[in-house]
Amino acid sequence: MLESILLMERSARMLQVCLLIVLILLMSRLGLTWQHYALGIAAGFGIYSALDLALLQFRAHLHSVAYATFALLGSAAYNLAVITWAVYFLKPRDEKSVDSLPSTDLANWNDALTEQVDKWYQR
Amino acid sequence: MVSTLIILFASGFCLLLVWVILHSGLPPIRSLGDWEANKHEVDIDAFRLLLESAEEQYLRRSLPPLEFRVFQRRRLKLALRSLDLVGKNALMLMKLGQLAKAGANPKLAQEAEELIYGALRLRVNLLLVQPYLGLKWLFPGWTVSVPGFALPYEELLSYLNRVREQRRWDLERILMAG
Repeated sequence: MLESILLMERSARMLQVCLLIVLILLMSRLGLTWQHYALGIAAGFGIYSALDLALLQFRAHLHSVAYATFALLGSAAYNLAVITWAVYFLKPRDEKSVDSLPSTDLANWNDALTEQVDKWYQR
Repeated sequence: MVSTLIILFASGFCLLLVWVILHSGLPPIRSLGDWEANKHEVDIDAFRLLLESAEEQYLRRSLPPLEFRVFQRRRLKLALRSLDLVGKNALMLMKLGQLAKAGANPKLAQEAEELIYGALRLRVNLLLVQPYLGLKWLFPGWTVSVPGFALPYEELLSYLNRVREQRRWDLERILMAG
């Protein structure tokens, strides 16, 4: 019974870690900006699920270490995530609103890069 | 044993990515002044010249193959460095656009939307151009086109356009109402 619960928990954590990896990679590669809170929430879940997954895996193999130690380490991982969330939600945000926007050459760069894409990639 | 290694690798990679997103390496952008202080000046004409086909052909004809490869690699490295800086500029502009959108001025929010769209499109273009330049750096004499990327690229651009149009209509509705 305990083994099936641990297996289910490990599967859930693995899924969570994989989803977070895909989310973070896509956001970073496309340069989508994280909202302040979303970043904190994702970081907290990332820390917790990654540490918990590693602990569950070690628990299955390191029989010399007491279960109580793993239970304590699991709680510590969750506390670390809670601290991350708390820091993000309690820290005052010092962002001011912007009154005007700068003129940029983004359009020129986009044209230059589209030229290169058209040249290299077959249509 | 293999599953243990995969699981530990996944958890380590997840922690690494969390570290990367928390420490993006970009300076914090909180105002227009921050952008002015941290933006990178990159010459677009110099970039075009670095990737000019005629220049490449001329170098290929005039230099011995080994020297051509060394020289071409230097040009590509410079082009990649330029793109890296332009990508960072785009990220900072996106952040600035988000700040402008958060303000109460709907007209400015519309301009910010355009800015974010331009920066996002640039990042999509970079996704295609940077790997190609990386391949060219590995094989400097390579002149073959890469097949199979056209459809997702066009679809992604048309999706971005649709999102932009939708957001523009929403903002116009707010302007009309307010």
